[in-house]
Amino acid sequence: MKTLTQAFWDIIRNLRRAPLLFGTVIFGIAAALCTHLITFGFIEKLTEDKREYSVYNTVSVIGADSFGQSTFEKITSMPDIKNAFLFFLPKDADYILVGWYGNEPENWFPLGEGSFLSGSAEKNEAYVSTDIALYDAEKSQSVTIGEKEYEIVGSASLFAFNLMTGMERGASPELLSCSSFVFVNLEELLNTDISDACIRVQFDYDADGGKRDFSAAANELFAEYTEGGTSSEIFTPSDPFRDNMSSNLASFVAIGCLCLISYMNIIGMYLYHLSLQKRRFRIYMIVGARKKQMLGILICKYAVLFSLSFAVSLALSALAKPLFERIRISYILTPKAAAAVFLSDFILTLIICIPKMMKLCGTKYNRCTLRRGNES
Amino acid sequence: MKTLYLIYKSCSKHFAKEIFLILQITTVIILLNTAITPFVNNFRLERAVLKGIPENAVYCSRPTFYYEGEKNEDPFKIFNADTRVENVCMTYYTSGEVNGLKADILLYSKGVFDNFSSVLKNGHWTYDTSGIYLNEALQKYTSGKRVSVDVSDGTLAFSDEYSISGTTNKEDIVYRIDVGGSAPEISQIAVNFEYIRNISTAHTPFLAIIPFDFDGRPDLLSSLGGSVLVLKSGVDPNEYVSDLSEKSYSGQLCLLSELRENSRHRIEETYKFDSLLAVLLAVSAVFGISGYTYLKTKSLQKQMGIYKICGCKNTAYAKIILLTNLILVTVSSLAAFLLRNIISLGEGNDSAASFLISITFIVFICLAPIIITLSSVKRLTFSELLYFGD
Repeated sequence: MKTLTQAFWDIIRNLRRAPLLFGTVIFGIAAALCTHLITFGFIEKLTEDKREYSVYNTVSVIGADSFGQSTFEKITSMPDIKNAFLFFLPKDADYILVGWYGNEPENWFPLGEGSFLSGSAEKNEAYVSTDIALYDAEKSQSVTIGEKEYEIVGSASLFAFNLMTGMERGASPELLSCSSFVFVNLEELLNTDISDACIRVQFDYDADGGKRDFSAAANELFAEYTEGGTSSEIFTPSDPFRDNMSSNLASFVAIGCLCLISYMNIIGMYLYHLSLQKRRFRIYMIVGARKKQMLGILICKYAVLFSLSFAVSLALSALAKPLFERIRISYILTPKAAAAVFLSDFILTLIICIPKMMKLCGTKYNRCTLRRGNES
Repeated sequence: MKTLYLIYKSCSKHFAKEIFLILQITTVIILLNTAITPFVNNFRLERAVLKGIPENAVYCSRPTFYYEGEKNEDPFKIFNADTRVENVCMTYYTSGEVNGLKADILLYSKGVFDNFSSVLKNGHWTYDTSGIYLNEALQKYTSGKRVSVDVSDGTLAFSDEYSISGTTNKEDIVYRIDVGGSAPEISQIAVNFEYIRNISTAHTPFLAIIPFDFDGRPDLLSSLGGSVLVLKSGVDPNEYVSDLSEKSYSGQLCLLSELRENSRHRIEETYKFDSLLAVLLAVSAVFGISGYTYLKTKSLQKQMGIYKICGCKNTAYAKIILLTNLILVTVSSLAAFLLRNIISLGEGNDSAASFLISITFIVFICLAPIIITLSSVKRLTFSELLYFGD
């Protein structure tokens, strides 16, 4: 406590004696910390925005050979399911048959003419791609699948990659070349003969704010497809941060360099400040201060100085937010991220500065350090 | 000689001590250069485009989707009939063969020649349907004064012989106003052909501009995404747009200022990372490099006092310090210059103009604190200088 008080008063004294010099040190460190806070907040915001996309909330299985009542019940019993769909290429057919559950298809493809499936299996509705039929409100049209006739309620122009977004393109190449689709209610495909089908289940992001364990959810829904050494493969959503990083690698490297420069600033500023302390610490040593005590003062002083700069940087980052929004840059300042920046920066810079601090408190000293002036 | 010796002594001491500062300045220059390049390029393009087109122009962008009945109809008929409109300028972009070489072909209507200015390397910028304008690369491959052109793209097919009317400059702005879109921007009117060629693989290195009579081709007109209406002198574009009933034409009319605004928004959205980097680098450099230089110069006050006692004048001392730092910035700039071709955020993210801006910024932030400190210490007495920091 005594050391901390001593460090605090030391800073006050420095501020009184040379406010401009000390202010430059504090604002220099604050600017560097500000850089870290804003870049991390920016990346966090980008990732957070992406997290809401449907592909980052969807679990899939490829190579399913059956779709039974139990899987359907598992899907429909979950309260936070937004959409679920199964698609495959039926034998001897030149279109992809899609079984759909949920009423938010616009998350996957733009809706065209007419309406979408109402979700009621009794209605025998079908939604088709425009190359099969163009929906006309004044004309009653139907499509026959197997022996059953379905009334066309709408049509849209769409491609296979609309349904396969976020999945590896090589996962199902035969489907990618197809642009003809027939959508029916998912329930219609129960116990139908399907081969190498793809089942995708999209969860509602708002239900848990992106904190869901997708691996557990995928296992719960699709465990039966991978049991017994089948060729089925489960896909869980990729990490939006990693996706962001791989698509903007050069920018991330540049941001990394910027952070390094900021570290250099913090260290440079602090080492300059340290060089001003040489004489005082020699005197401390002469009057009997132990190395441990002096190191304690230095570390405490660094902690206070760093905390002061961090407080300034937090205020600056919050104040700069509306200015950045003017150039369409938005970032979030979460307590978690702020704490992470504070701790990581403090520990890292302290580790780098400790040898210099040790040298300052060392018993070997040059008599010149006792002379007047700071730069000996 | 003495000053040079002192500069050498301070430099050798300074450089060994300031190796991190050199590294920092080099990194800042390289990163700042790549970060501001898209904005500098856009600014230069905008300036060049706006210089080449009349101020009272209005961009007419057609909707991407239109009814079957609108096909084979002249979408700009209403503007041609309007007495306030002097010219409806149109272009059509396609590809074809010039003397057997695959080339990008741009067809220009008479209005483009009459109202849009162009700086040709040689020749005259006039509407003559028997003439053709080639870019330098294509010119090199054509011998003789006449060239044959073959175009067949599904919408348009023709084969003709033209005399060469002129050659375009490498940096010439190429007008391409047929693109349209929901948020048209400056690059919708014109682009630097070399730039487009660099970023798109579909383009060939060759370009031919052909004066073309659009009036007799309603099928071609209906496929154009946009045109530029040049109003008669005295007609205010703002008033013209607000007077015209939206139902009388399909699409949207945009003033040049709106196109600029759209461009700015798109650039900001596309280069978010770059703008963030540029702002933070500037802040970091001002507080870091500038602050550090300030602290360092301030701590040299004692040395300055000793120099003064030994008979050194203020200006001589200032010269030593300034030149030492200038050499430091020059070394860093040279390193950045050598490295900038290797390290860039993306293709085309490097330009001489942005590099110069970065260097100027660094020179300013490095030297400004020194000048401020040196001019402020001029007033200090010997003892104030010698006992600095005590």
